[in-house]
Amino acid sequence: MNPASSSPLKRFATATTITCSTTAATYGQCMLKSYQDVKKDMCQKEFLAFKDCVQTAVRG
Amino acid sequence: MLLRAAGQRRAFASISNSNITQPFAVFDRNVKRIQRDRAASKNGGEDSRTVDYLRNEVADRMIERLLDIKRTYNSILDVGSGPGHFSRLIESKLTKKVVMLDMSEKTLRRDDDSEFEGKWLIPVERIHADEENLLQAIAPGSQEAVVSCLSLHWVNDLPGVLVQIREVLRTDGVFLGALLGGDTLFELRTALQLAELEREGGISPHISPMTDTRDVSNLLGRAGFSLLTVDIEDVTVAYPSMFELLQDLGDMGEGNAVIGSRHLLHRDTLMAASAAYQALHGNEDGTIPATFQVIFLVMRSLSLYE
Repeated sequence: MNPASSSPLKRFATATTITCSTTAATYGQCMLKSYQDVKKDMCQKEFLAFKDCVQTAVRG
Repeated sequence: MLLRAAGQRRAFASISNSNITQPFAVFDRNVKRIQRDRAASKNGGEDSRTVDYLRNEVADRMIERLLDIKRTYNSILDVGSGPGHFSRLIESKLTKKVVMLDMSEKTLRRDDDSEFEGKWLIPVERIHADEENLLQAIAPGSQEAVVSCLSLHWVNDLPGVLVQIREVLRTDGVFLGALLGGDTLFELRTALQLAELEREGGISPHISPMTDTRDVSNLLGRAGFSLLTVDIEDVTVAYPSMFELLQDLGDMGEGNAVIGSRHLLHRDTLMAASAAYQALHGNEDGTIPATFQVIFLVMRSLSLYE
């Protein structure tokens, strides 16, 4: 799939699941650690790293 | 980004003008009809046909149960037939004709044209009507057999519709149904909840409540059916990621239609849910599973004088 020609949602999906799979996994594991006692922003740091990666990938 | 989100919200809010007055209104039937009409006509029906895999699989499993009943019929009524996933499997040795009934006209007539007409094994009649008001379209006591394959999970008053199905059946008629049970899409449900809690600090319903398997026999007993068999099977589908799952659900016309739900999923939450899905439920090969819990019912309508 050529990212430049696909729809914004497709680009977003590719960035989230493929390009940034490592940061996504780190964030996922952080949530998994305490999924029975979830608090807002408990994985803020990991999420921001993930989001940073996705934003860069979508723009690129 | 903010402007775009606001625009989307407005577009979603304007698609339904229905007035909800009935007692147990959980779903907006008007939204559901529009979703299904759109899904069936998108890309000339092609997108909708690519996502037939789920209904075809369930229809395959359901036809075996119909064949187990050693009877033949003059006519079979398919309530919530869609384009006929189940009806097209019925052979002429079983019935002279089949009557398909669906609330979405586009879905009902999706495979209407000659190219697909050839695939039908028996004569087909189509009725465009809402299954919630079945008795308005079908005369009481007129049917020998009623089938329903994956449509009753969007009905507001399930006990009421089951009573209507019993009403249209003759004495000793057969009702064969496949319903989605409460564990359906539990992976998506939990992933969205985890993501919304972590990102937004609260949850909102994105997936319909579905029939609890424990309630089914009570429901049918109340509607005046004698129970023959109920069994539950899980259909699990593997998807590359949550986005393909959401895309396919949309193309199936199975998007969210819960009244008063927040239709918009924030992008942050969507990202978070995708990561949560993978972490909570992901398969070793990197795909994600989605479970559809199907409740199969085979019922007999009791005589009023029994």
